[in-house]
Parts: sequence; structure tokens; C-alpha cells
Amino acid sequence: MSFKRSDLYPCNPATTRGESTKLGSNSDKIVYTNGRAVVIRDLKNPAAVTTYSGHVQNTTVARISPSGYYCASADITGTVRVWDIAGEDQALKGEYKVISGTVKDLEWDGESKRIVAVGDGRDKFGHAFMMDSGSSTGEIIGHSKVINAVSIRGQRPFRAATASDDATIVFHQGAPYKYEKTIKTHTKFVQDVRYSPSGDHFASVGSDAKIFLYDGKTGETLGEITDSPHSGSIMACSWSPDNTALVTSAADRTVKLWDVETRKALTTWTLGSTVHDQQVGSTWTAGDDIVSLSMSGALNVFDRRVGDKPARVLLGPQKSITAAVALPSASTFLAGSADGRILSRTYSDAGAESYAQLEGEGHAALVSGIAASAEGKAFSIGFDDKLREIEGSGFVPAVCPTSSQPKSVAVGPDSTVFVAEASGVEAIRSNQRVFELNPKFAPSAVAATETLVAIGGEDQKVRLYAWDGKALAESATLEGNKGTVSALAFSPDGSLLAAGDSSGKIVLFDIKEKKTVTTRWSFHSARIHSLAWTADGQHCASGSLDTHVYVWSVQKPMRNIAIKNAGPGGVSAVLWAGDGRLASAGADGCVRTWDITFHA
Amino acid sequence: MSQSGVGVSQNCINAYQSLKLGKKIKYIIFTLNSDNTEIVVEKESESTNYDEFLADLPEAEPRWAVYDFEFEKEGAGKRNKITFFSWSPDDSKIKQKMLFASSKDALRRSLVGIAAEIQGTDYSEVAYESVLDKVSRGA
Repeated sequence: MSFKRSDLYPCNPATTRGESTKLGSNSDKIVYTNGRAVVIRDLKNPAAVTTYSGHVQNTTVARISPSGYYCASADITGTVRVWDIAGEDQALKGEYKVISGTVKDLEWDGESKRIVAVGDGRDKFGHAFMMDSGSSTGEIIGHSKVINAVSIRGQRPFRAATASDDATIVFHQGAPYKYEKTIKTHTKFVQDVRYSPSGDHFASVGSDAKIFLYDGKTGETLGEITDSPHSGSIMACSWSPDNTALVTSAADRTVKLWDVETRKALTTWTLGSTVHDQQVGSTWTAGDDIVSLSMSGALNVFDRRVGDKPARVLLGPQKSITAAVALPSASTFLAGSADGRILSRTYSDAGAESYAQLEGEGHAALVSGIAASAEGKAFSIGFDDKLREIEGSGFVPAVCPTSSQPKSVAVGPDSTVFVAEASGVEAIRSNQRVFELNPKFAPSAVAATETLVAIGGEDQKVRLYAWDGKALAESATLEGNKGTVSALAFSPDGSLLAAGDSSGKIVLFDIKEKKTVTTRWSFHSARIHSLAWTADGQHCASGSLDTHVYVWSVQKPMRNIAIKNAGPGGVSAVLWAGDGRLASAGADGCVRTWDITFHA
Repeated sequence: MSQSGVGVSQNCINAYQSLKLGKKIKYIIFTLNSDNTEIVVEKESESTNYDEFLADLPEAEPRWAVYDFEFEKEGAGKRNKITFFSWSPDDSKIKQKMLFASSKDALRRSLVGIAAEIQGTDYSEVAYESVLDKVSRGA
């Protein structure tokens, strides 16, 4: 009658083309945002991942206080939330609406007492305030366009530098923060400004591909780094923990390491050749890991002694996970997301630290379903109206177009794939259409066994068809659902069929008798997205838009295991990973695993 | 309030009295007799297993029930609350639902000492946790 939370596989940072994405770090932890979630992960300990989903709107930036006890995160409406990260319950310290537009960056001062948040707004572009009361500690003025970055000198006397789209940097004295002077070094957007940990210097980078160094106390310009410059917009810079080196990430797909004393380039790392490889953010952790963020969301972790390529690359979904399937090996699953990407992931107790990319061309739009065959092949459908096959660690080059928008996919005998589409159901084998069914109802879900195919419709009914390898012959209609049938799953031995619908009801049917076994599986309050049976056919897990996961029992239909709020924003897929381990994936792009103890 | 004019059989009152005073019976399921003229006792049970009680609530027919709900109040020991259930699942026939809704008062008023009332239209509303939540409020 219980479950225990196990691993959490986080999403990667959200990125926007042409904009710099701020990554924060504290000791070995890095912090970033995606959608409404804030993710904190430890680079030295992959199991230490926490997510925060307290924001109502999409988040933009998050940073941990120098003390390590609090995190401040901000969203597109100008709201900053300060919350506790030392305890388990992420207690809210304060919520402040600081500016009227999106917050692009925020920074803590060295005493973890004050925060400066900057971004876009109607009357002002930035605000300095106390973290515990929200009361103002000065003003951030002098800019005429959106402010991209802020950095505060970590020691007294405090100074704050802000970088803006108006190509200027404003130097403030504090605290309370007052306008000191405007620095006009850059000729285009200034993307990032960072103080060194010692506070002696700060550096700025911008869309004019230039890097400038300044005195930390006076704001005097010390000079420009001109040795082997970047050829594109520089999006971010970060200082080494020992203050001697600076790393810059640029849209020319390179990351460069500079020696501050000699102002010479030490290392240049080049990453790929596509738009997705543009570098849009960076942070240098106290544990001496250099992290640079690609447009694709990949976190490239560099070791400054290794010159040619990243020491490791952390991949993950960047958009909500819309479909997922367990491969027969059970230690690996595939997750497809709303941007059309499919990634594979091995559970971390089997040794994997991150997701892995599938080779070959994937989908161009939202992945609406993935199904796996017993032989280990997987088939995916997407809103680009394509059926693709995945074998081993990549896509098979051949691709089969579907005749209308695919909604659900199931694999039958000898790798025949059944695709439920807006206008009908297609049976496809080896990329050839072998049969097409054009029923009167609109199909919405499909499931298959060796000889039977179940098709759920928007008319709230489930129909059974016999499959002889050539054609589908209707054999029965099962009624009992209260909304569009949104998920179907046969028990492993094919004797039972669970049908979930858009009202949150799950009806369990007996296939032989063609009757309802129970309607007691009705605790969900919104659309059922996914159903998954255990191998013994005794339990079935369901994931729903209502954010909950339930594990149901066939023997005792009145007993269930409720995992409330298993996925903020809705659970889109549930899958079993071996005995008693359930994984759920959801709209926040994260996968969580649970250890389930079944009812005795 | 419209009343169906259905009467309550003497057995119902007797069964309820023995549940209330005897402390042996755990729950009683009430239903209408076959020609819908009188409320009768369908089952009396001494089982303390809540799942068995749930199993006695049919999936597609309305019922009433009285359950002697026992729970632990934090730091204040055990509490018993006699709870009245109106079970009217979405799947039952409309005529049945109407009849049970209009006959409920007749039964409810003849039972004195009910501490809590639960209305259920699906199983999540009568699950142990949700009943406990409702019953323990203000206990």
C-alpha cells in the first residue's frame, strides 16, 4: 500500500534563439529553468536532483544564494520567488513582483541579503530589494532598453553592473544601489556581465563579439581581449573560481577559455555545425567544471585541461514529454517530446548519467506516440504525419508517411504497426501499408495483441477487431467509457483490456466474455494519458492530466496506490521498469521513478 | 422537497439500533424492495474490512448505507462516528437515482444519531481516505 520516490531525471534548460540563457551555480550544483520548473542538479552526484514548481508562469532565471540556503527564481511576469533549498519542503521565503515584464537575470549580493533583478518593464528595467522583506534597497536606472544581465561585487563595497540591449553597461554603487556611471564600450547588445569571485574585475561580452575587462571597484575600463576573437555574438561569460581565467560561450558554436592576466586565448572548443550547437549560456562551478549550454539544451561540461572536446555532455528533453515507452530490456526507455525529439535513457542504477541521442533523422513535430515490439524495435508517430522505426540506438532511414494526423500507435504480430489517425486506422508492415480501415467514428486510441486489435473512438466506445494478417474484422463493441477513449492497454496475457477516457474513468473489460469487469478504477479527474500493465497482469498503472498516478489491482479493484502530484502539469506516460519500479513522465519534461510496494 | 412516499421497514430501525447500541454490527446496507414500496435492509455485516464494505456498494445501482466509522484522532485516542452514505453511481438508471434521492429523507430522518453524511457518485468519493478526511474534520 505504498510507494517510495526514487530517481528524478530532469529536463534540460529551455533556450531561445538569439537570447542568452542564464545558468546559475553554487559549489557543484547548477541551477536552470525550463517551463514553469526550476531544476537544481549536482554535477558530481547525478542522483541529487531537485525540481521546484511553485511558479504559475514560465520561469526565466534562477540563482542560489552564496550562503547555499536559498534559491531565487523569476518568471516572465516579473515575479521573483525566494525559497528554501536546505529543507525538503521548499518553503517559500517571499514572493515579490519587481518589474512589469519578463525578468532576464537576477543576482544575490555576497551577504545573501539583497537581490537585484533585471529585465523588461514599462517604467523601470530593474529592481534592488531585500530577500526577506522585498523592501527596496536602491534603484537600477540609466538604461533605455531591456537589461540582459546583472552582476554584483561579492564583497564590500558592493557594486552592481547591468548590461543592456541599448549597448551600454551601467555601473551602480551600493548598497543602497545608486547610479554611478554609464560605460559605453560595446557597439551592439551587451549579453552578459560577470564579476570575478574576488571582486577585483568584471568582464562584459556582447553581440559585437567583443570582450572587455573592467576594474571591479571603480568601473574603469581596463581593456579589450582582442586575441583570436569570436566570430559571432558572445552570449555568456564566466570566471574561474581562482579568478585567473574567463570562459566565453558564443553563437559561433565555440567556447573559448582566456587567460585574464595575459589576455590571450588558452583553448577553443568547437561544438558541431548547426544552429542547435550555438552556445547560449555558461557557468563555471566552484568544483572547477565549465558548463556551456547549447541551443539544443545540451549541457557541455568541459575540463580546462582537456582541449579538444567536452569531458561529458548532459542531454535531456527540452520540452514536455508527450510519449514514452519501455524497451523489452526494461533497463532502457525512450522518451519523445513536444519538439519532436526522441531520446533514450538507461536507468541510473544501470550506470547511465544522462539521456542519449538517437542517431538519424527524427520527427519534425510533436511525438504523439511510441510503441515497442517484443523484438526490441520501437515505432514512433509524430504530428509531422510520419511513422518512424527505431532500432538499436538510432532511427531506421526508411520512413512511412501516414494519411492523416496520427494519434496512437500499437505493435501487433510480426511487427505490424497499427496507427490510429484522425480519419482512420492504418496497418503498416515494413513501411508498407497493408490495410486501411475507415470507420464511421473518429479513432482516438489503439492497442493490439497477437490476434486482436482494440480501437477506441471519440464516440466513447471501444471496438474489437480480429486481425488475420491481412484485414481487420469487427467482432465486438465494448461500452462503458464516459468520454473520448484516450488510452488502451491489453494485459500481458491478452485477457483483459483497460480503457481510459477523457473524463478520467478507466473501465476494465474481459475480452473473452466481452463484458465489464469493473468500473471502480475511477479516481482520476481528468484525461487518462497512459496505461501500463505489470508483467504478471495483476496491476495496472495509469497516468493522467490531473497530475496523479494510480496503481490499480485486478484482484482487489477497491484498493489502489495513489501517487498524488506525480508530475506537475500532467503525467503523459507511465511505464514499468522491472519489478515494482514505475516511471512516470510528464509535461514538465522530467521523468520520475517510484518504488512500488503492492498490497498484500 | 419532493417525497416519494416510500416507507421504512421496521427491520431498518431495528438493525440501526443494534448497530448503535450493540457495537457489534459494523455496517448496514439499505435498498428499496423489489416493487419500490419500502426501504429494507439488504445486508448487515460485522466485517471490519472497509474494502468489503466498498465491494457491497454495487457499480451501477444506488444504495444507502450506515457505517460505524472508527478512526484515531491524533493525541486523543479512538473515535467512532456513525456515517450515513448515499451511494448513487453515475452509471445507474435515472429512474433509480430519482427514486433513491427522493426516498433518502424518509430513511435518514428515522435514524437518530448520525454524525456524518457522505454522498458518493464514484468510488473516489467513498474511498477510505476521503471519508476519513470528511469525518475527522471537527472531530
